[in-house]
Amino acid sequence: MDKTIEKQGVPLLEVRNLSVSFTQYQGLFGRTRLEAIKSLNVTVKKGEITAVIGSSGSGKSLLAHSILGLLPYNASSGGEILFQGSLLTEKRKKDLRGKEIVLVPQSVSYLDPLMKVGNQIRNGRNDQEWKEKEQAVLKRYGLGEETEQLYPFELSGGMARRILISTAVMGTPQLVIADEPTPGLHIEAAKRVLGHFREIADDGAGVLLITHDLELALEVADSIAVLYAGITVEEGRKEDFKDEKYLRHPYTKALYRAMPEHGFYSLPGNQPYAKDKIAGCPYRPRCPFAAEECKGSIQGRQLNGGYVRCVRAGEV
Amino acid sequence: MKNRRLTTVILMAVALVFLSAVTASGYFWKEAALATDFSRKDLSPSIAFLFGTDWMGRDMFVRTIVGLSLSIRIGLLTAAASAVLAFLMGTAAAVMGKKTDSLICGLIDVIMGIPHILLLILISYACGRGFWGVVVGVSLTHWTSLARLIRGEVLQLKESNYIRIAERLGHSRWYIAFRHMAPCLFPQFAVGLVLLFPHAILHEASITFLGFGLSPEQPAIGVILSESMQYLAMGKWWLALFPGILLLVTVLMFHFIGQGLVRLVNPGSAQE
Amino acid sequence: MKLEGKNITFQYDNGNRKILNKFSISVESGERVGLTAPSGFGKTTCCKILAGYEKPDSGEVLLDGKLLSQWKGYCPVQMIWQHPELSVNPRRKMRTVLEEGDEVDERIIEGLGIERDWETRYPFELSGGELQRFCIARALGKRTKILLADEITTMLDLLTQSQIWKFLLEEAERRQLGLLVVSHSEGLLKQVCTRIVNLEHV
Repeated sequence: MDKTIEKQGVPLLEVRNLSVSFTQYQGLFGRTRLEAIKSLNVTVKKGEITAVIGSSGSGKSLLAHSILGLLPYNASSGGEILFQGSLLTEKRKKDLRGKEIVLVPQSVSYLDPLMKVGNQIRNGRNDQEWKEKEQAVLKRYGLGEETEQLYPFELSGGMARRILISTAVMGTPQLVIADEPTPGLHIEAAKRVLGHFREIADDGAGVLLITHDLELALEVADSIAVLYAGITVEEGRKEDFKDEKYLRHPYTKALYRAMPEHGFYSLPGNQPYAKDKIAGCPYRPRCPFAAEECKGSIQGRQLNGGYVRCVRAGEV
Repeated sequence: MKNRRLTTVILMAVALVFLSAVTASGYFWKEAALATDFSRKDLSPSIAFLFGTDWMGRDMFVRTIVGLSLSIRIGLLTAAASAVLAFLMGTAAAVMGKKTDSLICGLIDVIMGIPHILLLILISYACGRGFWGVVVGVSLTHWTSLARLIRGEVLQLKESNYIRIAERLGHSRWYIAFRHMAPCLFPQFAVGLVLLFPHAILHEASITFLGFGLSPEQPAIGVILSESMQYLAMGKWWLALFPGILLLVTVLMFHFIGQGLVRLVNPGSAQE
Repeated sequence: MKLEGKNITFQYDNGNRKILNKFSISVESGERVGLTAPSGFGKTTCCKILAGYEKPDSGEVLLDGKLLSQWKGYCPVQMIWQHPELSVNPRRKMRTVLEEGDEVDERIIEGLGIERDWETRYPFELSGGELQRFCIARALGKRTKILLADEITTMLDLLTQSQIWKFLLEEAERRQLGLLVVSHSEGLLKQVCTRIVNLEHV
């Protein structure tokens, strides 16, 4: 671990006004630029889990791909990503990927179906040191020694998930990015998987947990960033979600009230598309507090120890 | 970023125009290709005779174009025939039960196991050579890999959720086949069809060259090439070189069209 | 109408573990039954059997006392799947999804918040929540009497979830549909169901 960047106040990962756009064909030859992410701000501190919450189309998976340098060929991005206080360039992303920064992928299909899982966890390294390390990791996640001899198709959903995590933590990474790590798992199994991420964070690494499931995220995360239509609308601590009155953005409040336990309220309308190109706040068409000033450009600001991007936050 | 899609489409259009021009002009020059004139025999390439003339004073440029035109027409016919055959066989294997499936798969293995050219010669010979011998021979030997592809695709489609949902919604087999399966199979089919052309043309030319295909009276590329062999040693290089190059160009044009189609249809590269 | 699963046993060809063992359940018009169990307990399999997608190894599925497999044509029991992106043909426009249903009422399309503009798009141009609305509309055709919902909002965000369920509850009430709701979320089941069955305890 690099001691020089252990300075107080420098977060492990800082994403500032990240934007990602795609060039796409329209008709046969026409081209258009589609701004899929407009302005994302996310911070991950050492030893903490930051959950990024958003529905599909909010840009949350693109965020992971941007940090890892895995955007497709027709994408271009703006804004900046800082890792340990210094700029994360494309070259640095490539160097750090799989070592300092690792991804726990969404689906089991990332495993090689023809290779025994033990070999995949060690990434092909067969010496004694790595074998011992692998056994220790398996044991830590409650998997027996014999697991390393299995092929991916012989794993149950929960086991496969733990294998993916094992693979990710073999190299003692600084930042673990988990993209929807619990789809289709029962609540108990999902909580166990999330518990593993908690352990990783408690051991000193930072975790970026990307999910659509606010309820699950609240189980383990320290801070929550809420995305809507490619914009970070709010970033707050987990405690803020104890009561609606601590929440800052009308969208977050609506999410809170939509939980079955909090009234199961619904709200008409849909998240706008990147191509709809709404000026001002993208939540404006659905927001009960929308006013004239919401049509202008909205600056992010600090409020009650968190971040919010809403001109009316605090007054309503 | 360069507009790759535009370049691809332009390339495909150029290839298409070239091929249609060759096909059409070959049709009109049929007589000219056979015209002999011993006063101008064995001329090397010049402005008047771009590809030179042969030992009977025939214009090699006209002969080449007419030969290619014939090749392209045979190619179109055989590629279409084998693609249709592939489609029928592949679909039948996938939907008509285990017995049909193993029968067709066995047949595919047998045909793929025998060297192409050997089987082609046998079939062409059995059908009495000539135009139809070549067409039947090439069609019957080229359907296998596309059939295998379509079989796999149909098998996968049959198990897909949306098709099973359509069944529970009470839709008929025909509805499912035409509305659900056809749109999924079409891109594969179209690309397979186009990529069959170069094979068909090359194989037609080669069996004709070997003397098992079209009759020597026809100005086919294979005939031109095999005749010119005797004159090559005498320094008449133009007799083989230009027809050979043009055959290659024709085959490449089909290949470009096929690759272009693949690029446009495949979602992984469609946005390039 | 009444859908009954009687003594259903099921296991996959490769496994030796029984997924379902002599399991019985019933859903009647007008009631909303919640089904919950840990993952791997065969909730999806149960739905697939009750909707006629799979045949049980033993036991039977009856609709109004008649074997479900003997109902020809449109099946009055329709299932909505967890993953909408697998439930629509990627090469057909969304309009065809609605056409595929049984004369889906305009009221349903509006009630689910489906925008006209979406119908001319292909599935990859829509989000999961939007696709799922189409799948729900398709399953709510005129002759549908019993609806099986297998974790239909698990992959969606909270606002879309509450939107969809608000509509489904109204529609079920209006048409006296029978609903089987599978979900891991107890909070959700308590909100939408008239009774809850736990697969673990039967």
